[in-house]
Amino acid sequence: MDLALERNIPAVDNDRDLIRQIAVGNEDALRRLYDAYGQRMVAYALRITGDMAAAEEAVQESLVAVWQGAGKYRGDSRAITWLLGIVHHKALNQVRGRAVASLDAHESLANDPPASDPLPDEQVIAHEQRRMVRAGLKALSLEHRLALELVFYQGLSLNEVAEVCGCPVGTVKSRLNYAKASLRGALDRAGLREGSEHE
Amino acid sequence: MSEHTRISDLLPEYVSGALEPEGRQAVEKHLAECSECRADLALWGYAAGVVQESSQAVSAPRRLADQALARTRAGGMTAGRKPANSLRRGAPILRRGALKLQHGGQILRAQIPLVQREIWPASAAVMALGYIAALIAEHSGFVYALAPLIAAACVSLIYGPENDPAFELALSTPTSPRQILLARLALVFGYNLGLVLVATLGLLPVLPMPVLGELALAWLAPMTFLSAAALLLSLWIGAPNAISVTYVAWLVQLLSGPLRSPQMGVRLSPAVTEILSAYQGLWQSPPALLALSALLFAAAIWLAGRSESGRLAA
Repeated sequence: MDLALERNIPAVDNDRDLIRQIAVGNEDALRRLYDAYGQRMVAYALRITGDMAAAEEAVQESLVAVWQGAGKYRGDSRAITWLLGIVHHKALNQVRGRAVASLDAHESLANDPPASDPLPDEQVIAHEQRRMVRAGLKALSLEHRLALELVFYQGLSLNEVAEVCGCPVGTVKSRLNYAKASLRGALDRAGLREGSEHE
Repeated sequence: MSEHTRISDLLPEYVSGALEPEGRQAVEKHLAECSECRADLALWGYAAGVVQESSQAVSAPRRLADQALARTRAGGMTAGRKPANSLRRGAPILRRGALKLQHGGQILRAQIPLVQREIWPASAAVMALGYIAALIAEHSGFVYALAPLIAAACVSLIYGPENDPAFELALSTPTSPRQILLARLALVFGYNLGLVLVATLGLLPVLPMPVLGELALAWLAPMTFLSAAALLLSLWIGAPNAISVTYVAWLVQLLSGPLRSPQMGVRLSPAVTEILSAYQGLWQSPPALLALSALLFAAAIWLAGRSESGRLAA
């Protein structure tokens, strides 16, 4: 069974050229870079700030930083890793000094709709598992949720996650393992985890 | 690391599709025979689904790029360049000083999580071993022989792409590479200086200690010089080579006295004896060592800003 998830992430072959053009003052190049990666930048900023206005402010500041720092981009990292690293820094500055929103704004955007018709057993279990995982994710700390966002939505490797968060790759692995144990506990308590009967 | 642990660490990237074909094959082979990993795979699948579902629902307003460009125009910012330093314009001297101090403090704090975190416990552990050895042997020389080695190893690991996962990002921030290097140097060297001072204070009640001038001769000047040399060399030939070269230099210094001693029975030619004597003389001259250290530190900081790649050879 291949659970690799299909994602519709835009592939830009000439990112490095685009960033070079930004470095020499091409405004249209910045717009094109934003067209390619803006959605992912905003989604990541929102994951950190929990507030859409603060997320938009952080992305705007990131774009200004890109405009000023484009000349220093050497292309060792992928453009998305570089951009998310800047967003990470700017969005954390936004939340610093104020309490992080207790409700993850993403949650209000994607809740399971109530089942209007009776569902078959398998679907009921899957629905319930998703609900428990969602509740488990909500209970995680910001740094653990960010690791999951960077891996599962942004499609980064663990090394790239470490680069964005500015921590060793071993720390990223620990965060993922902690998140896994926490989600596993949530499903076990509800008696919903596949294979839990073997342990 | 067991195969199970290795594959377990790869599962998130397998689910996201970020894994290379060889990694995918290894995961699939292991999954066929490990029920625990199959259960974890299902769990990661659910987590990935929930994360993707919520992030896909976020929309990015087109206006953000235009608003950012309007900001750059209003601020007179040139592409690829840092903004003019507002501290230089019009602020009273005291306020400027306070703001600069605050800015310096922010840079220092920001560097703490970026310095390799193993440095802190490792230096403390080695210094503790030196302290215990000094107590057992009733000789403070153990602490002072270790101090320059610990400081040199730590300082050679503070800067450069191989030592900092966020190096490229750090270069793209308004903080200059020289400020980053200086801040990390201050943190790590200051920490090691503190460790040796604590060890020295801990030895005071049990061992006779030399006067302050001799103390500087024993470890402060050599520690500073070896650190400066290690920093400059790490920018040039990489941290492992810098550590090797400085360790050899320090060991030769430690051994040059005993080697020349008649009790050791080592026959050295007069020329070698003279070279060793001059070499040891340099290490026993704090003013010369401190002056050389200042030169080496200045060269390292200048080169860090000049290369912007973190390595002279890059």
